[in-house]
Amino acid sequence: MRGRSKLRAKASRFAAYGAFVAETVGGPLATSTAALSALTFLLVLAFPPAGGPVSGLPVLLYLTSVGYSVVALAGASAMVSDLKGPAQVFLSQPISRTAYALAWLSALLTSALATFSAFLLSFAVIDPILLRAVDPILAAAWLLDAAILALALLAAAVLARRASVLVALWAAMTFGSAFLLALPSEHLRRAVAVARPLYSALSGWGAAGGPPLAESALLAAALALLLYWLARARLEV
Amino acid sequence: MIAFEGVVKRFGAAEALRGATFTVPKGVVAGLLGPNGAGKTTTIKIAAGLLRRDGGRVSVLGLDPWEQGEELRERVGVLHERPAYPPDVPVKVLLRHVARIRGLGWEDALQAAKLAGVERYLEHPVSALSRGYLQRLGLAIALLGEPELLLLDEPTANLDPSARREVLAAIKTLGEEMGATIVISSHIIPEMEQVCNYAVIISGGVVLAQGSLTDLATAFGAEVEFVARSREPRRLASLLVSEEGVRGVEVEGDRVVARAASSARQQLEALLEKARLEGLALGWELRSRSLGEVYERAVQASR
Repeated sequence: MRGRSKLRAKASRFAAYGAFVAETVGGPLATSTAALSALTFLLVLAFPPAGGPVSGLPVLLYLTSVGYSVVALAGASAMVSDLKGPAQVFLSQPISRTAYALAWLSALLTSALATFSAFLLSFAVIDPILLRAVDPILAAAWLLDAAILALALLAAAVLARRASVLVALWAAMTFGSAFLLALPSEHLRRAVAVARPLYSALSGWGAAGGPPLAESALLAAALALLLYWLARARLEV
Repeated sequence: MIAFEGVVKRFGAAEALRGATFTVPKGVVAGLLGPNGAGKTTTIKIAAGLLRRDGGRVSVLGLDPWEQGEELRERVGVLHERPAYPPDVPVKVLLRHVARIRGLGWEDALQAAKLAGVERYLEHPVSALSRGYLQRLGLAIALLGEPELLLLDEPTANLDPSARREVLAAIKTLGEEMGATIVISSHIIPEMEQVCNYAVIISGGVVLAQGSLTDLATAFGAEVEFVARSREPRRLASLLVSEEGVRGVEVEGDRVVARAASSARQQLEALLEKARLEGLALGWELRSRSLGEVYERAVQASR
């Protein structure tokens, strides 16, 4: 009974802090997500079906992913700023370091889901038939890709506490990955394919078996564990 | 209440705490005194579970602050030296959220705001508050839920003299009314003398001395002060003034205040106790107004 009430208290504190992140720092995230959704809608209209919407779909998915990566970078940078000041006030309350990191992760993942939902909604608004063009594998790759990026950026935020490190990581993951996929090294290409499943899906790497989603999911889980460990062991303010 | 045992904290190559050992008993208002860079803020943050120690043992309210921080901070209020708040958030919103994290309602937040004297600014954004009111906001946050232990890091830093007086008076009142144990870090000795009855002197990451102000004064040979009440204050004063080691006696109404060398403490305690039993003194207490002297001597002794 006592364990359950403790758990309830923990959940309530997490919800209270999560609400604060959503209400204050989450504001710019919501604005960026909305702007990105509007842009997606315009892009869907700009790539009309010349032989079907599929021809424009990879470009749309890529652009939406890049757009979300900017939102994730902004969110992780906001966490770095928070760790330099306001976090001290909140972490002096009965909230655990892991709950603190989880609140930020939740904000970024919610933003990813909102962006992708808006992307699908854009299709549905124009013509629901267009939704059929979005392969579930591609959808999973997009979402996993976004989760891996968000987790990597937040882990770097906790570890390095410097916005410049986040920008470097973001540039490497966003643009460097696309470049590395074109290299002849099989090992390197596989590593990039796992880290950026959307890129591998769009570039047709491993076309026979599709993008390595299981390995990407494992990577996302490993990054989540890393973030948990960093928050527990290294999150000093 | 608080026990540090050989605590070490490093920031890269620099050692902020080098085997700090001290205890703070329950119910005292303790001053954590030391020059800038002595390790006061690090000590407060380790006690609150915000920094991890690199060595030694720490127990606060019987809990390990780093491992059991969430549980500990339910019972502890913290005021940081330069608290940074999200700038555009109204005071009311910030207080409401922090209260919710503590499982409290708006009424509790409002009560804390009133206690800290920030209730007039509830609708203002945090960025519109002066340094003094930011400090009061920090105090209001620290007071939420009437914690058993208050950790206040330089609570009067960067305040003008009148704001300093107000904040110190508020802390003194809180200590008396809430019965909470309070730890205040500061390098301003005269201020600490006004509110503290216990002190931990720290320098270079090492604890030089600790104890009640009167015990410290005795240990370092500083002056102590006896305050007695009597129906015949002049008779009691003349008795005291003839004692060896008494440096001065003043009569204020029914109060007799005698300043004496700490070496005369035992003999004067015996004399006043005898006077109390004979009905000449209604009661007496020992206090110290020589924290500055104790601090200087402790620092000198460590060199």
